[in-house]
Amino acid sequence: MKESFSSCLHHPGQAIPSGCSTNEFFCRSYSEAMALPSDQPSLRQDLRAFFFLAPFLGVFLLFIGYPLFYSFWISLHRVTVYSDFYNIFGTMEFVGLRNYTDVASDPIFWWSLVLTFVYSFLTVIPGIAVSLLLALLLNQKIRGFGLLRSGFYLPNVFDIYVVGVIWLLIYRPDGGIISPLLRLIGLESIADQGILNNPNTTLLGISIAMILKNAGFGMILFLVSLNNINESIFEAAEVDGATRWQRLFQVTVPLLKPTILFLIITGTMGSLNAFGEIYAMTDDRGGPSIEIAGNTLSSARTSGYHLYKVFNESMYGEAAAISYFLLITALLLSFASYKLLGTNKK
Amino acid sequence: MKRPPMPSDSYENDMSKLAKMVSMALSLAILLPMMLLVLLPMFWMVLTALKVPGTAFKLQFVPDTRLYNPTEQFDPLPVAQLSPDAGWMYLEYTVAGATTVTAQINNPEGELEEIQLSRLGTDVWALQHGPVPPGEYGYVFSVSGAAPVPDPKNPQRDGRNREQSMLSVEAGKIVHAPEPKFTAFSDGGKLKIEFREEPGKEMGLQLFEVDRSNPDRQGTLYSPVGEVISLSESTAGVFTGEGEAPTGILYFRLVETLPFGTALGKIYTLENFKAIVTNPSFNFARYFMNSLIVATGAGLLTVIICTMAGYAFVRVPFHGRNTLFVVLLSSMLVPGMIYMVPQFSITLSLGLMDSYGGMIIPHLANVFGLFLMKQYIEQIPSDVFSAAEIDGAKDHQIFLTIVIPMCLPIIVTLFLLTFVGQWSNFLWQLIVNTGYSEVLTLPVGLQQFKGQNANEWEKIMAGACFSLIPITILFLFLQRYFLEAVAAGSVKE
Repeated sequence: MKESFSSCLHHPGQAIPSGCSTNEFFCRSYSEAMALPSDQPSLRQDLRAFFFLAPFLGVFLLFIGYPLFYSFWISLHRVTVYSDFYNIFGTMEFVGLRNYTDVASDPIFWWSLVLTFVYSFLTVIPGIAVSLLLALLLNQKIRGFGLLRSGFYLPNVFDIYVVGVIWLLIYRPDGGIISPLLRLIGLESIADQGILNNPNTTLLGISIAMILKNAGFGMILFLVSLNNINESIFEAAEVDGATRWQRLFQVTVPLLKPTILFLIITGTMGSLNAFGEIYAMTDDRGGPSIEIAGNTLSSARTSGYHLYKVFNESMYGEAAAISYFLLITALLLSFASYKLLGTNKK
Repeated sequence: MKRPPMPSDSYENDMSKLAKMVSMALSLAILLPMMLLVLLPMFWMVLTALKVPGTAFKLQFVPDTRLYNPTEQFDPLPVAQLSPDAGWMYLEYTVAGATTVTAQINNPEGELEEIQLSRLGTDVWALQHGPVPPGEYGYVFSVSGAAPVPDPKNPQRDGRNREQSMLSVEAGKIVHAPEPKFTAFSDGGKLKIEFREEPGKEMGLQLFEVDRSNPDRQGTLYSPVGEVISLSESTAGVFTGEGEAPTGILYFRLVETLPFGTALGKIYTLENFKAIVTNPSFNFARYFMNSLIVATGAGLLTVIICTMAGYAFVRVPFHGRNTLFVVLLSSMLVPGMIYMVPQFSITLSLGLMDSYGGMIIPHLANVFGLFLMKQYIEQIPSDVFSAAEIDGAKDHQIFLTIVIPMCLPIIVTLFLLTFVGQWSNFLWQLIVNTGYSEVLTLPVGLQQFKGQNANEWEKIMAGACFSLIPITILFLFLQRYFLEAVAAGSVKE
């Protein structure tokens, strides 16, 4: 349908479309098209492209492509001289794979991965449920619902650190709003201590804040997908005698599978990258301490935050090694979710 | 296709209308509380930022037009004061059931003078003495015949104890006279409280009975004398209590009725904003400008380079076009934290620490942005390009006269996405700014401010407003583009 004319250009050897003989414009275009640069790659095309691609590729190579490999070099070295901040990478010492073996034997690192899984479990699934609920409720043509949609999406554009600081205040046992509510339902001890100060609820508190912040994103994606579902499928299900709940779980949810997969992958990535919210809502250690198998560990030091802490101590080699562990984790997770959920591409 | 209306139609319509209304009401019953929850941080931030310094933890949001003065104690309290004519000493003592009340006055020369007070009301004893020369006077009340009245706050005191106090007199003027705001006494079995206030104020009075079983508690409201009266030109208002005058200790407080504006000013203020803008070490106005420069710069440059690259990918058949695109796309699978160490090192060696460039440049190669632009340019009919090419237009002319104007909607979307992303890019801005940075942005500035003023939550929240409010306004005006961007993002899946 689109570009019927350009199809002439794409296949110069093809016969002139019959319509062209009667249409002066097309015929003129066609004859001149023969003189135009062809669609075949050539050195000339490469030069043309280079001018337009250079700025993008330049920044990409310098700050995304090269770092992936440069990071490996860093991971084989260790900082030796702390005095010259601006040349700290130039004076690193080669240590081989020591950083990797050190990270692999560090309980704090493995614990941070465990916490990352807990965190993504706490945020991703409930987050998708909340987004889906909002989308299903808002998928009605009622005046004023557009405003609600915007309202739910709004926190998505906020700075995660700033939002985290506000939640820190909201969760405070003195002066916050959550503790009085907890007292109402009889959870006095948690209320007095504060959700974020109790090692068992720190991550839960952060997760709730983040679910509420990000709910609008999933909601919009679900709304777009719901709009794309053909009405007739529901009608058919209704004719077949499916109840409301059956229709929801056997028709709607399977059709939303690509969106759910997308949200799972981005959500898991988000948990791996989680930093701003942890930084804002915990103290310097990454949450109150807990004792596990003789190790004193922090209750909210997820992998992203752990990486930052190591980085912040100028242990750049170790941080780079952790980065590769996280990269492998991320790729495995993406692959696993894709295999588990993304079999049929719609 | 229209069929004639059936009798059941209107019934069905009514039913479906009803069902629709019920479903809408149910939806709203879930949606509105959810909305409140989702926007809770926003509301909390604004309310806290507007609170009077020091009251961040007070859970009061609705202004109270009633100003409660500190609770006063009506007690057999010695009252000594100077009479309006300077140099005259007025002594007053209120005690229930006394037969005599004596005051011992110790004048500056050290002479002791004993004077009997005469009865003024049922329980009120008073004496005007003088005139007395200037100086410091001590006085002691002795009471006989009074029933012991234990003071719940001070069990050692009973009605028989001697009350001592000091007052000083200077020639012609009061130096240190304990002029009570309140004079409470019972008059003919009725409680009378006199107070001096500025004229024109609306005042009320609340009385509390002492709960003797629990000395720490103020007890219940004694009597609803709290009717509000307006004071005339006179300087004193007089309340007369209902019921019997208490023999024990009575607590009361004055309730002032404030104009709404004044009451609002008691809990809300703009002072926090003023304070953080004029703070020399944490200048949030400067942080705001820096954030604006970083976000706008990053937005503009990203749009330019992504549009250019998108054009090349769509219109120029260069070697390895598809391979390159796949390579670029696959970089999106890598979690952003991975780049932290090497990007920091590169930024450091390029000398971009503490600079706008250090914050802007590393994030310009936005693969998702490139993807958006490529997709959009592909939708432009190639006839448009062909026509221009036939007319001999060069690439840069096509780019400027066709691509940019036709891609304007997606350009705005990408600009806004980048703008918001960089406005809120806390981690990177934290990393590339050292403690000496002149170009701190809002989130990092807030972090540093919070580090040094951890307890000034009203000001911290005022700083947070600088970050969230502008972005909210931007979103509300341009939400169509934001939501489009999200929708566009979902297409790629």
